Amino acid sequence: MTEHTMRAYDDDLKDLRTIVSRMGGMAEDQLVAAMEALRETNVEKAHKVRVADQTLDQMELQAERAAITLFALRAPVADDLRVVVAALKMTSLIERMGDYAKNIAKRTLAIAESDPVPMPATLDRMAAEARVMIREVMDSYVHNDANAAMDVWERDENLDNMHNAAYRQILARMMEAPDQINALTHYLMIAKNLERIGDQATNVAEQVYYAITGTLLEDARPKNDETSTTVLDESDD
Amino acid sequence: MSVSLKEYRRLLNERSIIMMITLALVILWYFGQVSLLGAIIVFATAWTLLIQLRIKRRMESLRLMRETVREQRRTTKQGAMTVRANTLNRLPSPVLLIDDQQRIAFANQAALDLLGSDILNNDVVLYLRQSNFVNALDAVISGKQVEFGTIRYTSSNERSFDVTVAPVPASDDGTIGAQAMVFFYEVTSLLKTEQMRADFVANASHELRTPLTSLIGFIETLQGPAMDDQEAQQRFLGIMQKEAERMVRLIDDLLSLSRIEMSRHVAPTSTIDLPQLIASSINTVLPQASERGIKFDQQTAPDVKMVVADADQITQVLLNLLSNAAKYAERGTTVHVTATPHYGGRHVTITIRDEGPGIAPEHLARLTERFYRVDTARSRKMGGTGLGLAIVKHILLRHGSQMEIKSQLGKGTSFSFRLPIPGKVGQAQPVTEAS
Repeated sequence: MTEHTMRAYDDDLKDLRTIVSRMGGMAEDQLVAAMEALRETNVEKAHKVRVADQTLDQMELQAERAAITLFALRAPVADDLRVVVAALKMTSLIERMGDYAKNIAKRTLAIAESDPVPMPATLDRMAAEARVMIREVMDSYVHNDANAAMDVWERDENLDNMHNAAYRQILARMMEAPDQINALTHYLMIAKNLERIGDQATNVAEQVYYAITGTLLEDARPKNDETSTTVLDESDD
Repeated sequence: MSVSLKEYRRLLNERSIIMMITLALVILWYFGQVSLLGAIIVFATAWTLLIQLRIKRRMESLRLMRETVREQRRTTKQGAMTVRANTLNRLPSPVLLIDDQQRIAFANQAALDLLGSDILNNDVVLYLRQSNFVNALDAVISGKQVEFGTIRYTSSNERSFDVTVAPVPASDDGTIGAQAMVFFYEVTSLLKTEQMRADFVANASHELRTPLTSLIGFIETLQGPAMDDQEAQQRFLGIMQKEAERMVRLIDDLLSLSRIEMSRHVAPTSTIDLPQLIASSINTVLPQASERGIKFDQQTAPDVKMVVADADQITQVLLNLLSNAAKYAERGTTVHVTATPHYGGRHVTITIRDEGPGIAPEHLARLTERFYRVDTARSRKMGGTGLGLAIVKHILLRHGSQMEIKSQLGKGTSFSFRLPIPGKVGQAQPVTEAS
């Protein structure tokens, strides 16, 4: 990017980028912490995740303020405008990721109340995959690497496939053990949350791609979610 | 000093002084004034001038010497600085220096490789985003002493690092402008080893537990409901024996695996007759194979004879591979065993190929993992321990060879490995396990 005559303008843009990057790191941390709490059914850790979500909300406000100040004082045009608009959208997407992590923590509390039900192993793998997606999309953002963003965007299919598998697996377990249905329903929703986090990462990737190249990636989005149409019949296990 | 004066000073040397004395004497003599006093005055003046000259010379040489020494010292110091900077740059662990504005002031080569080449002078928080790192960095830069737990950084190619943040005072008494040093300590292999250990313990105990559980179940049945049922007793005892045997086999396999691992850095030196060894191994598994109608077809190139190998261990490799073929190849097919010289004629390649059903590609990479099975239930039924191919792999590593597995669903699978021909290659070097 070419430098501006006013150094303060560059500094403001850099600051905005730093906040977005920090938020990405925070969202990743929240996801890891929430999964750790879930794995250990640790109520204390789950509480911590819920509290920490407020910091993420604060950061979003901060980013919003920074972006609005930029609009007001510098009136960005061309690629600067794209960068600021994309940052603004990204922060709200990242904040949503944090919300999903918080929701996982909330469900952990509910799961902890009933008898222990082992966590389906697929969830762990989904979380690992979602985490890699967040990390890579943020890396593509800070390095201005449109190709890396594209890679993340295409990667979402993996997570969708895992979600389908987890969905069937959990449904099958519900049929086997109707007494565990309470906890299993939460697991089902957690799987959905993880899949949504991956979706948000793809959306962030779209914004990164847009900020760098100026082209929209919207159409031809990889989609492989079948769960909304999946039916499990009795003979199937 | 002006130029003319300098010129004049250069005139002041021994030769000119002697000339001046002579000139003075000549003038004195010309006027008939050569007296003792006049001569003494002339000589005394000349003497003083000469002494002054010598002092000046001495001073000059001293100054020169001092300057040379200083110059020398400066070059050595500069050299040392360059060496230090290069050392830091070549350090295999990534190191960053962060200034008080959280910008990356210095990154060594390893850090550039890890985080990207465009990171200098940018905010470090862009690249290291974890909140505990950000907190630690804030604390260090503001000069606070806080304990922060382990900061783990995972790169996009799955390398993991423990990150240390330490203050670097800009002045000796540490009063101004604290900077921070970020040091990355790679723990990828540690984590992997720990994961492998945990997996192994979990698998081994699970494998040992399965036969025990069924033994205990049958013992309970024999003590209770089947106490007087002769027929059931016989049947149960048979099953119990089978389970016990399976456990013995499993423990034998585990032991032999650990024995092979102990000796894996010592390459074998003995030579063996390969065609004969293959033939005798085929004979051993033949009864088991013919039950399923499987035939063996041995083809040995005429110039294949002796190879450098440990006879017992290579027998075990062949038996494992052949009995796998006998167990899992399709009924009524032929298993081809070939031994041919490798290109260059320094090794013999031994290939065991079946005609189906083949192994799906997603299993291939994991086949040599301990307790990895393509089909757990089928393997149990066949009495497999899940360690066979792991043993084969480790024996071959000790022989400086690696097993190559190729498979195509519906076409068949081939396992091949190489053994050195004596005299053609230097000592076979054991291969250290790559993964």
